[in-house]
This record gives sequence, C-alpha cells and structure tokens, in this order.
Amino acid sequence: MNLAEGVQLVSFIILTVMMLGAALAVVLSPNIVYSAFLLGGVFSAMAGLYLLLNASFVAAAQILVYVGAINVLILFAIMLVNKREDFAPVKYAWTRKIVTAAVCGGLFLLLGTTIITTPWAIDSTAAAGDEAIYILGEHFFTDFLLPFELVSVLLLMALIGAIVLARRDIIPDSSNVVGQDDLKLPEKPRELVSAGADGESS
Amino acid sequence: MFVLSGYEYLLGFIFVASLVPVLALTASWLLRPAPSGPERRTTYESGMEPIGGAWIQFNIRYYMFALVFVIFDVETVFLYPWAVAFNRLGLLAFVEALIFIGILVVGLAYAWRKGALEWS
Amino acid sequence: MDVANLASQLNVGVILPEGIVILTLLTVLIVDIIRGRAANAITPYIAIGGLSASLAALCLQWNIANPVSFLGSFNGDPLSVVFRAIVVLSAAFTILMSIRYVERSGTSLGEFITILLTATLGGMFLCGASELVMIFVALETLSISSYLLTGYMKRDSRSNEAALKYLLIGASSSALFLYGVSLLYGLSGGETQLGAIAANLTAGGQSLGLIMALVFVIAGVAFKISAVPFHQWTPDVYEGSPTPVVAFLSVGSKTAGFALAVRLLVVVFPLLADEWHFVFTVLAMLSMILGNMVALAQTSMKRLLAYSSIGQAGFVMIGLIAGTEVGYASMIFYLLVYLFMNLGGFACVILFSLRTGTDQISEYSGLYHKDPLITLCLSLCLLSLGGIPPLAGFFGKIYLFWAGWQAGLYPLVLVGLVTSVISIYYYIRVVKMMVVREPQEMSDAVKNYPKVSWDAPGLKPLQVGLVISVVATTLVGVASNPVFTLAIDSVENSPALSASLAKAKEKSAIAVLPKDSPSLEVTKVASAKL
Repeated sequence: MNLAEGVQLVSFIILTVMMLGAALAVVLSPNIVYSAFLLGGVFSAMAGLYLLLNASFVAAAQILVYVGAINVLILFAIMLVNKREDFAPVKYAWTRKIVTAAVCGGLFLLLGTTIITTPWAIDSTAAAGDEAIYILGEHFFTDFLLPFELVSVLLLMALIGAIVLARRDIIPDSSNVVGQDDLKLPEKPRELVSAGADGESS
Repeated sequence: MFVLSGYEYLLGFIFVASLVPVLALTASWLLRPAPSGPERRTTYESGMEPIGGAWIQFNIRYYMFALVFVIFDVETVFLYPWAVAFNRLGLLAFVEALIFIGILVVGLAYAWRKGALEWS
Repeated sequence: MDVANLASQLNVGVILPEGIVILTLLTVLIVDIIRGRAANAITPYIAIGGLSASLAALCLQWNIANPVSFLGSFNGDPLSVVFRAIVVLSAAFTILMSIRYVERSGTSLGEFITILLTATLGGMFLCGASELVMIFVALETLSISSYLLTGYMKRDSRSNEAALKYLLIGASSSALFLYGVSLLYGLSGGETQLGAIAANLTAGGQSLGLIMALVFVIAGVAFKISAVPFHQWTPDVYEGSPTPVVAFLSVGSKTAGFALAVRLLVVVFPLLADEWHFVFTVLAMLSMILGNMVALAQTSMKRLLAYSSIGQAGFVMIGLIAGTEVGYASMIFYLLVYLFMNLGGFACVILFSLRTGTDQISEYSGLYHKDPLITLCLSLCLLSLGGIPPLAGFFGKIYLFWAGWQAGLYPLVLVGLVTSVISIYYYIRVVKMMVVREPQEMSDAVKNYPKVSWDAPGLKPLQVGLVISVVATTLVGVASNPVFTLAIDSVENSPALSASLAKAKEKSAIAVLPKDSPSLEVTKVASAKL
C-alpha cells in the first residue's frame, strides 16, 4: 500500500464514521434543529464519498443542492413552524425503538447479503476522471436528452406548485374577496360520529 | 482507484481549515482569565442587551425565497455540464439547452408575476 | 456528432403528442400570467383544445414505421399509443369537470390546469418510456404533480392530510422503486435501456439481486395502481382530494401504472416470469376481495369509489397475469371502458356535491324525483362498473375473465366472479336508494335541492363530459367488437411484447390441448354470442 492508497483509506474511514454517526444522531436527537444541522453533515460526508469514487461533479452537485439549498430549506421550514410544545412522552416508546432497530437491522442484513452474493456485471473500463464532466454533457444532449428536457418541465411544475402552496391568498387582481370558507372542498366534512363508525379497515 | 487530479490540495486545505477552530479555541482558553459572573454567559450582540432566544419563528418570505432558490439551483447543476462541454457539443445542443432554459424562464416569469420574488 | 445526423437519429416526431401537451401547458401558464383571473374564461378551453390536438396526433401515429425515438429513451409503438390516449382522454374529461368545482372553491384555475397537464405529460411519457432514467423522471413528474393536486385546496385540513399521506407513502415507494432500478443497472453491467438489460440479465441467470430488484420494482408499481397491500393511501387520499383530482388519479395515473407494469415486468423480467405472475396473482386476489368487501361498508361516495377502484384494479391485473395476446388486449379494453364509466360516475358525484355540498351516500336517497338526469347517468355508470349485461363494463369483465380462464388462471377467475357479484350489491344499493325511495323518504340534501339549471359558468362543460362518458359507456357495450379488435391490434403490433407472447404461446401449447381455432377466434365467437 503506497501513500496515496493509505490516505484514501483513512479518508474513507473518517467519512464513513462521520456519516454513520451523524445519520444516527439525526434520527435519535430529540431536538429537531440539531437534527437538521446534522443532516448537513450527512450530506457533506456523502459528497466526500462521491469524491472518493471519482465522481467530482456529483460531489459538487451534492454540496450545492443538498447542503446549500435543501438543507437550508429544511431549516427554514423548521424555524417557520417554531412552536415550542412539550409532547407527552409516549408509553412504551422503547419497544417502538427496538422494533424499528430490528426492522432496519433485518433490512440491512438482507441488502448486505444481496450485495455480497450477487454476481454483479462490473464494467471494466477505466474511470473517466477529469473527463467525466464532458462525457456527462455529451450524454445529456444525446441519449439522455429526453429525460433532460422533461426535467425542465418537472422543475417548472415544482416551482409553480411550491408558490401555489406557500403563498398567501391575497391575489392582487382578484375580483372577489377571499373569505374564510373559500379554498376548501365543497363537500362538507363528515360528522365525527360517522367518522368513528365508518367500518374502516385500512 | 482514485484518478482525479489536484485533490491533494483539497486534502491539505481541509486539514488546515479543521485546525483553525481547534487552535482558536485552545489559544483563547490559554490566554483568557477565568470565567466569572452570569454576564459572561450571555450572547454577545454588539454591546446590545440580547432579547429572547436565537431560535425565533422565521418569516414565511425566507421560505419562499429558499423554495425558488432550490429550483434554480438544480437548474444550474443541470446546465453546468453543457457549459463546460459547450465546444464539443455543437449547435444542436445549444438549441436543446435553449428549450430547457426557455421552459424555466416561463417559471421565472410566473414567480415574478405572482410576487414570489418580492419582499412585501 | 453531426447536427443533421443526430436530429434524424432522435426521431423527434414520435413525441409530437407530448410536445403539443407541453406547448399547451406553457400557453395556459402564459395566458394566466398575462391576464390573471380573467383568463379563467379561456384557459380550460385552451387546455381541452391542446389535449384534443394531442389525441389527434396520437391517432396519426398508429403503427408508425419507426417507433423508437431519442436513441431508445422512448418507444411509440401502438401499445404506448393506446395507453397514452387513455391518459390524455382522462385528463381532458377531468378538466371538463373541474372548471366549476375549482372556481367554486375560490382557488386559481390556471395553475390547477397547468399542474394537471404536467401530470398528464408525466403519465404519457411513462406509458412509452423504455429506458430507466426516462421511466424514473416520468414517474416523478406524474407523482409530484399528483401530490400538488391532492393538496390543492390548501385551506381544507382534509386536503392537507391527503396530500401529506400521499406524499410520504409515495416518496417511500418511489425510493424503493429507484433502489430496485439501480439494482437492475448494476446487474446488467451499466445498461439503462430495457431491451439491453433484459439481454444482459438472461446471460447472468437468476440471483438474489435480481429477486430483490423484482420485489422493489413491484412495490413501486403496485403503489401506483393501488393494489392491496399497497393501497393504504387510497381511501384517505380519495376522500380528502378535490374530486376531479380523484377522477384523474383513479383513471389516468392508474393507466400509466399499468403501462409501466407491462413494459417493465414483461420486458425485463422474463427470467422471473413465474415469480412475478405468482406475486401479482396474490395482489390481484387481495385487491378484489378486500376492495369489494370493504366497499360494502362505506358511507361516503368518494370512499366507496376509492375501494371500488381498488377492486377494479384487481380485475385489470387478471389480464396482465394471463400474459397472452388476449390478456393484454382485454386489459387495454377494460381500462378504456373503465375510463368512461368511472369518469362518468365522478362527474355525477361532482355535480351532486356542487349542488348539495355533500357526498354522503345516504343523502342521495330520492334523488330521482328532483334530478332524473344525474340519477340516470350515475345509475348507468355504477351498473356498468358492477358489470350488468348490456353496458360496457360487462363486456370488459367478460373479456378479462375469458382471457384468464384460457390461460388457466381458474382460482383467480373464480375469485373475480364472486367478488364482482359482491360489487354489484353495493353499486345497486346506491341506485336503489336514488330511484326507489318515495318522495317522503327524501334526504335533507335532496329536499333542499336547488332548481336544476345548467346556466352557471363551468356547468356546461361538465354536462358535456358527463353525457359523452355515459353515451360511451353504453355504446362501447353494444359495439365492443371493433374496440376490442383495436386493442388486439395494438398488442400484436408492439414488438416489445412479442418475445413474451411467443413464450406464453409455447407454454399454452404444451399445457392446453390443441384447438382447431386460435385463441383469438374463440374469443370473437364468444363475444358475438353475447
């Protein structure tokens, strides 16, 4: 093992420990603001792993989009509904945790076995390295052109939807004043009595 | 097999950067006098008396901007490979990228018209 | 690569219908931006016009010489044309019935139509996508716009609840699907085209990875078609969403899900054909039994239609499991029929809730005395959904059961027969309540029923949509043969299915005694007798 490989191994171990630790802390932390900040740590560590896998563009995109935009959005959303409320502790919360841990552990074992036992058809061509970004561009405009263009429509719709859902309803050119009863379903809500006796099975 | 070039500088940079907070805190821990009194524990806010906590309810406007920012951030990520490989791709890719941008410009116009970009 | 060369390779003409839809949605959006609320008077009609143009373009593309476009990303074979046409039709009907509904709720119509058109676009691309990245992007376009539509009435807590449930369950099922797809990518050595994946998988043989990929893919598909046990979101989402959105979800979105199932499972997983047939048999049985049994106990019309749509999905799956030419064709035929009868039913529910503000089944009692038109239309649609003879739904079910019987799926067909009898009970219960009750037994909502008039803005399109779907429900029943021949044609002319069909034929030749006439002829004779 030469110096470069040693450095890579050490970086890999540091990144993995950072990612797993931060991910566990995100799930287990009782404070949602800390969870949101730690999520940024998970995303950054993931970017580091992408880098170790020679995917420099994906790593940069990960930092730019996930850490720079989505994590900030999550934080804003948390700060927006910043209602301090002390919830009553759930009875037997520890059983839930154990069951969740068992399910996750089982899933991990299953997927781990899958990965180890499956004969993967591994592509033997060398990694593109610094050329990757050019190859990516070429793919975007030849064989992945259609998904690429569809993404623009998807983003447009996401923008419209986000604005529709987040804006306040004082529309400058509205002719009718928006009342309290508007913007609701025309159907009346069910009475609470019938809601209980609905014969639900879902 | 790591084949990217130039990342040894990044490694060195991360190393130096991670030393900065450690050094700064240790240095101040060595130099400062021993802490005394509740005043030392309050948040420093340019000499003003701090009111309330730092975790306050944000205005929804920040959220709107963050939403719009996410969308255009993703758009940038998609356009970056096109910009880098522009010389190799040629005219047709230019037209295709124009379609992509054109559709999103409609979105920008929409956000503008609906007041999502205004701080009102 | 040379410009002209690449342009000819892309074969852009195949996605002309989708191009028209994109142009339409941009036009709707721009008109809405420029004219604001005043645009509400024209945007729905622009959208309807665009969708009709897109439908016409689809008709012109029937059986074109070279259906593969965008270097294999998209396949415009007749199979995808039929599925895309169903998606477009369902969107057009949904817009017809949503104009009044959305305006009544005070929300903006232009954005509603834009998001609905985007969902349509996602559904159309999903029907023809033959490459993994394309499939996933189209699936997300459809799903994300569906979440937005579900939560469109944002002041209503039921709508919020529906959107949140749909989003959380939908996002996790998308993640599962993506994981399965990534396993396929790894197993095939970095291929994304479905054909190439299938070829490479055959070389690799069965493995645990392949089974996991199948499980995850089925989870994603079953969520879209809301097959039991992936149905938990359906009743709550259907109850809380705006009713036109429910109409679209139950027809358009489901059709796209079935198209995805046909393309992905049949093309990629021939190695595991027995396994996925078995899984789908279980899913279909559970859907038929649970959907139809729980529907018996519902008090809300929207929830009734939600559970009935779960049961109907179970019927459609019989065609998929049969795996024969007739099986696929009967599945397409049933989806087409289901489009008309289900949308007709929803149009009536919307009209009733617009006039009375409720969707409780008990409030429908005695409606015949006040509004015979709705009563007639709703009765026809519900009876057709139940499968009463002269109507279209009956023929759809006959074809499905016949195809299943021929393929040797006896238990499945028997369960289908029994549950469809059960379903007739709860459909007829509603019909009986509307028709038979004496005037003094009328519900409060019907007693206060407003005078029937079609003058209010947006009611005329609703009426048009209602009448067309009811007429189609009755006419397709009478003239089912040409439509079924069309469905058979679309399956025969789609090369993607031919390999699996050849295999199925081999199997049936071994299993079943040789017959004098091919299976297709038998069905035609049978349907002629009916």
